[in-house]
Amino acid sequence: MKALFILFQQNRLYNIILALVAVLFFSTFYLVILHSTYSTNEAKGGTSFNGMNRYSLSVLKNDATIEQLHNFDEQLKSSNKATPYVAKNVDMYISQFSGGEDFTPLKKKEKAGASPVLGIQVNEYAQKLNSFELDSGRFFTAKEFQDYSPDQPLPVVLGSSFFNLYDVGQSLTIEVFDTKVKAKIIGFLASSQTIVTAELAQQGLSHAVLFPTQHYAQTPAETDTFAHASLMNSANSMLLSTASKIGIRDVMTEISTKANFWSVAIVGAGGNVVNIFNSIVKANSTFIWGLFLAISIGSAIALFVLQPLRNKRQQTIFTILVLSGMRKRELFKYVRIEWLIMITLGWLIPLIPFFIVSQMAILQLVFYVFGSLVLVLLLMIILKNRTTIQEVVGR
Amino acid sequence: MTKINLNNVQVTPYKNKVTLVVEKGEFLAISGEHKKVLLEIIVGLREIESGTYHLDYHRNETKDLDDLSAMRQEKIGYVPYEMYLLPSMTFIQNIEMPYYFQSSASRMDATKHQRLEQQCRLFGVQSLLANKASTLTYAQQRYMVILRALLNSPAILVLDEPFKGLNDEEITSIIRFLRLLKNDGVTIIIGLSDEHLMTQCDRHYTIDFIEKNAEAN
Repeated sequence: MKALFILFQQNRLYNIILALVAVLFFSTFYLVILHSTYSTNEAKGGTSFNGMNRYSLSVLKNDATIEQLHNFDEQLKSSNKATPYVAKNVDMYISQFSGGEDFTPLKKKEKAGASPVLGIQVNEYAQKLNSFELDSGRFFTAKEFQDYSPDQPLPVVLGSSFFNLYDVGQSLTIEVFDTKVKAKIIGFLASSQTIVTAELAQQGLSHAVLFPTQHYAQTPAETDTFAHASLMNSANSMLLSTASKIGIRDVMTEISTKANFWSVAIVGAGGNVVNIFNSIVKANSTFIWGLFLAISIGSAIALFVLQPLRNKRQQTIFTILVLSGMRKRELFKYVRIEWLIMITLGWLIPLIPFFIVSQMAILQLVFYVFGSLVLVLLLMIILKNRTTIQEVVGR
Repeated sequence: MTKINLNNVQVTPYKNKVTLVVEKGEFLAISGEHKKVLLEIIVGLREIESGTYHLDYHRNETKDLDDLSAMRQEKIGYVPYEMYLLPSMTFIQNIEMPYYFQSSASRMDATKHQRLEQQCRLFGVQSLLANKASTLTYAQQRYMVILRALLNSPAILVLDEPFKGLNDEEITSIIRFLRLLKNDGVTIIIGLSDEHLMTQCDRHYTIDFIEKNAEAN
């Protein structure tokens, strides 16, 4: 180790330059690999639901118009590349409720004679994916997810704890989304029923009131607060998709373009890391390959210039070593190790950030490792031919 | 027993064949034109074209230079006229440096350190060990390269013009040191051009470049 340190000290500046050149070269090499293998990128966004990637949508603009939300919901619903999943807790109050405090959610209080209960708005995918079981009644039909207006009865499915209080077909007066509506009980859930919320927590439903999200054939009136809130819940959904973090951005770009609604962030596919990765894979191919070619040529020139300079500075130490009885092939071994350390450093430094940026993409890492091995072997042959030890005799 | 036996050695630029026998513990001066070539043959830095070179019972004429280098690590210390040193390293680092590159068996150990300190005292440089080589005088640098050649306790020490550029006191200091080594059984071979200094040695060998045969005095 000390021997290598002594060799390094003789060429400190050139070795640092060599390592920097190696960093630059291998960074570009990794960049090219990530860029060229984008189509096979398997980077995940956190998988669940039978191996589907999941991403959360978050509407950034609270004052989004009902028309924007409606258009967005239409496009989201018709997309075949992503499935929106909605299972959202909603503030709900039941008038003349006799269930008692057991039904009162945390930190909720009575409101004008109405008792707070746990409301959960679900969409058709949440209903399907959670495989609900009923003690009596029925689930929501496809029609009940469509075109609800507050002057109609809102179908609700109640948790098992409500079973002793109400019957199927009975009507309730509830307040939801600041709108008083008549609700019609269409079923009671089995006592053990749970639901997976957008936060991926298993939530018990025994004290919950389930009601359906809504799609609208026509844009509802701007004054329809129920429709606005319901559409907002649909927009703030969880997306299930087979697309990667980069792929989902393409899907959402397509949906946002069609809906002309851009105030949506994709949680789980955003952030600086994904943004950088997105820039890499979406960069102009000619630019990336041109950059790689230029840096490869530059690195080769640097290598050819640096090696003789390194040789020159090491001649005194080489002479001392030869005079002290060191075999030349031993000396070459040390030179190769020293050089290999510099190159390995230059190889290792890009590996860490790029591996993180590519979200641990193993395939690209394998390409990088094996591709680099071939390059390093080639460089070692060049180095061997360009390392000289001056003859000690006859000086 | 370490004995050097060169028999009918032919090498460029010598026109004549060289025959030379050096017994163990001898203090031999070699002079004449291209004396350095003969020193380099002895230390294994130059291959011979014909003839034989025996070091003890080993035949060296059949070995290549890389194989001969083992000789310099095990049996022969060589001090060339040129002083190869690393100015940014200290006195002690310059001496120890080659040993960091050698196998663990021949690396620096406590015994070598102790012996080195004793030898430094003989030259009066024991207080300079931590000084950078660039700050040393010419004579101190010369002592340093001699000590470096001795670190593996070689049986033979070969020096090429070790007194050039030194004053009388410094020369005396080196001669006294070499005599001590000789008394310890080390064979000393010095390439010299100063006739006066040759008298300090036990034997004197002149390479006659012009005459038909090398001449031993």
